[in-house]
Parts: sequence; structure tokens; C-alpha cells
Amino acid sequence: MVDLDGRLRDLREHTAPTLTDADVDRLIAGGTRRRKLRRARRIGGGVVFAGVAAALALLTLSRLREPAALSFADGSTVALVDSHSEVSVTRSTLTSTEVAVRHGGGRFDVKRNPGRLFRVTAGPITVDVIGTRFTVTRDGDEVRVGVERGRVRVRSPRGDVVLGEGEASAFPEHGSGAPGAGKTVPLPELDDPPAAPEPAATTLPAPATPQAAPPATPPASEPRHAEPPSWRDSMKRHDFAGAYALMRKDPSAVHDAPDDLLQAADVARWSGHPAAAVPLLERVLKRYAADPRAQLAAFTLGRLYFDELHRPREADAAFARARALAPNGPLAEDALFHQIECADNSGDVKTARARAREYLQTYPTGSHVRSARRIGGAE
Amino acid sequence: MVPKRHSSYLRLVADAPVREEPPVTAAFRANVRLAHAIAFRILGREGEVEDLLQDLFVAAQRDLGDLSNEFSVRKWFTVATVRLARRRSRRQRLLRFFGFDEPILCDVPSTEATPEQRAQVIALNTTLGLLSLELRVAWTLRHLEGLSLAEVAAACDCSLATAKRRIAAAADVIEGVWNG
Repeated sequence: MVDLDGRLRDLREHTAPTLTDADVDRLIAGGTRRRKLRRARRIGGGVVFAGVAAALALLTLSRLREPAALSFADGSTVALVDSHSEVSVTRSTLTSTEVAVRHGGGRFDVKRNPGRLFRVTAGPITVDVIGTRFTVTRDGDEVRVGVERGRVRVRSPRGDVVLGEGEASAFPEHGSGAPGAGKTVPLPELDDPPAAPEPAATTLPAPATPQAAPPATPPASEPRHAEPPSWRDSMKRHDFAGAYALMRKDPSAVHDAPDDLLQAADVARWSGHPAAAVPLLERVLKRYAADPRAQLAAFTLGRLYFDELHRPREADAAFARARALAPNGPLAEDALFHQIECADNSGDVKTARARAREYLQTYPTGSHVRSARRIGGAE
Repeated sequence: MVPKRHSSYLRLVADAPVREEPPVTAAFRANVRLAHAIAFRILGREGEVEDLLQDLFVAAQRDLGDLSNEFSVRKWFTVATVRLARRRSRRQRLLRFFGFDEPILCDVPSTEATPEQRAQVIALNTTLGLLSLELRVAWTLRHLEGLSLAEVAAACDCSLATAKRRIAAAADVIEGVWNG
């Protein structure tokens, strides 16, 4: 019998070469070069892919005479509203996509992607999208924007306005007017109080001031007397710009109560003043931390920081607060997933992966399992 | 003076020259010899091993998470090396099947070996070449690298019982060949 262990003891050191320090330095230098090369390839590949996608989009749209639909790699789509419409992709990079409406209009269904801006231009009007379905049409001197789902920010020469779900606005391409939106009216399919027929909504230029916009006919239950309009009434009519102006005019009209503070924060966000919503939500968290609505305030604050203020670190802290306030609450799962996004967006890959693993462990059948697996490196 | 932020690596690189480099690079430097030996014993060719180690460096920069525990860092390098080596070994085998690659495990890397030792290394490598990849990896990690059974199981991505079974099966074949 051969003593295998004894023979191995003698042979072990001879079965593999030994590395010198110079060998190790060379390996590290080679590995560093390889890492840079792969990163460059990945970025280059993305840019080439985006360029090809943009070229294909232009080619497709220019050749089609029938109302067409354009699909982007992330699942976003653009459908032309009629056969005379012309829409083109003017810019497509890793971080942004810009589409111009030349004639007619397009119905946009944009997948939410915080790391990639989707922008639609129509003459001087710019629509920044977070993730929504909406329509942009050019009609004579007017650009109309209608939102079916989500929210968009519309930038016009007269100022910015955020349009929420079910809202439509007309923005004059030329002419004077006050800062703010064109005339905002609810879309007909909403369950809001019926508005009076307003042909002017799509044909007249914007009113002199946002708060001067003639309100839709009030609900039948609302008394018709000369009480000064409150910001809550304007909010109910989806006139967020008007509501915000009233809030600014009389800050004491916002009561120091969780409901009022949360609603006021919504008005600030939806009227295009996200930064103004921050202190309102912070106040809920500071004064009413034990209130069941505090988690909602923290979660909303996180979304605000992440989606609109593009401050992922603050967003992360707010989502962490939302989870801490109610670890088993209804928003805890989403808050953790948003924390993964925050870390991913900040370039903190290790934290993103660690949180993705935590998510998969805590919510193995959660609604973000697929994304968590992707970020966590399991797919 | 070694920077304090690298303190978790002081033990790993205690006898190495002090360097100002990122923690992951320091971890790679501390574990690359182990990774090199494992990869060489699985793949058998120096050129292929060097390529693998550069891939390992890239993977470490990307994936190596917790740097606070030297044992978990060593385990990460062991597991990652074995995975990369097994992937390459399968590719080698496929290429060999189609006649695009040469047989491996015939090198005698050490120049300090006596003629008798060189002959024994060749015999050992030839015997290891008879084994399946799973058996060869498990036995090599246990008997040539001296890893614990738990470390072998983790590196082979199998249970402790399976690791033991593989090592025993490989040992049977090797002893059978060596005992004539």
C-alpha cells in the first residue's frame, strides 16, 4: 500500500507554481485594464443600442402613413393620433429620451424609469414624464396635453405646471399670459362633479392668472354664495395651481393637522412646487409621528425626493423612516424596494444588492421580486 | 503607517509591503495565491489561469460585499475561483471533444522538484485527469489546498455529505491507480 498522504505532503508544493509579488502586480494591472475595458464596452454598447433604436424609430415613423405605434426598448410606446401626425425621436441616450411632436399628436405610454428622463417637446412646450400615459397634440397655435394616468410636468414659456391624472390643458404656442398652465380641465371620464361645457378650454388662451381661471361649475351640493374660495375647493376641482396660490396667500388656511398637511403637500407637488411640499410632510413626521398617517407622509416624502427632487440619499432616509414607523405596514414592502432603487440610482451597488437580498428574504412572493432578483444579481 | 480604513486587512496582508490601494484590491492581493493554486490545479495551464484571475479581479470589484471578515473574504475568493474554473474547464472539455484543445494537467510547474517528484506530479496529474470535474475539484480542494470539508462543500456548491462522497470516490480512484 502506498502512503497517499505522505506522498502528497512531498508533492503539494510542486503541483502549482508560486506567484511572485511582480506576478500579482501584473495580474492586478491586467484586471484593472479589463474592468475599464468592460465598462467602456458596456457604455459603448448602450450608446450604440440607443442610437440604433433612435434611427429605427425615425425610419419607422417617417415611413408609416397609417397611425402608428412606436415601441421603445423599456416598453414605452408612442401611438400617433392620426395619419397626418408626425413624431420623431430627437435624442436617445442612456439617461434620456426626447421625442418631438412636429404635427398632429401622439399618445404616449411611458414606463416609469427614474434613471431615464422621457421628454416630449411640441414647439415651445416641453413635457417631462416620470411614468404615465398621456397625449400631446398640436392644433394651430395651441398645444394640448391630457393625462390619463400618472403625472407630467409641462414647461411652457409662461411657466411650469404639473398635470395629474385625468387633467388636460391647452397651452398657446404664442401670445402673452401669466405664468402657469393653460386652462386646466378635468377629463370627462373622471368621477368628478360634472363641469359646464367649456369650448373655451381648448380654443382660448390661458387666463391672466392661474387663480383667475374660471372654476368649473361647482357641485350641486356646494352653496353658491360669495364666500372667498378656499384652497381645498380649488384642490377638489383639480385646480392645483389655484389652490397653491391660495395657500401661499393665506398660509394659516392650512391647519396644523395630519390630513390638512398631507393635502397641502399634495397641492404643492401637483402644482409644480415639490420643494414646498417637503416642510409640510416633515411637519407631519415631527409632530404626528405616532399618527397612522405618518408612514404615508414618510413614504410620500421619499417619492418626492426621489422622483421630483432627484435626491436619492434623502429619499432613502425617508423610505427608511417609513419602514421604521410601520415595519409590517402596507407601505413597508414598497419602501424597501424604493430603498433598493435609491442605492442603485446613487451608484451604491453593494448596498443595492444587500437590500435586494433583504427584500427577497422578507418578501419572497412580493410584487418586486423580479426586479430585486435582477438588482441582487440572482438573474 | 497603514491607513486605518484598511485595518480589516492588516491580518491578511501583515507580511506584505504596505500599499495605498483600495480595500478590494488589497483583498485580491491577499487571496490571489490561494485562487491561483486552486485555478491551476483545476485548469492545469498557466495562460488560462492568468486569464481567470483577471476575471476574478473584475468580479471582486463588482461583487465582493462584506470586507470586514477575513474568513468570509477568503471563502468568497475560493467559491468564485472554483466557479470560474469549473466554467472554463467545461469549455475546455467541449473544445477538446471537437478537437480544438489539447489535453491538460501534464505540466510540472515547479522548477525545484527533483526528477522523482516531477515523475510523481505527472502521475498525479494524469490520475486526476481520469476523474470527473466534480470529483477532481472536491479532492483537490481537500487534499492539495487543505480546505475544511465545510469550505469544500461551499466551494463545490453542494452539501457536506456530497462533498465527503466526492472526496472519498476520488480518493478510491487515486489510491487504486497509485497502488497499481
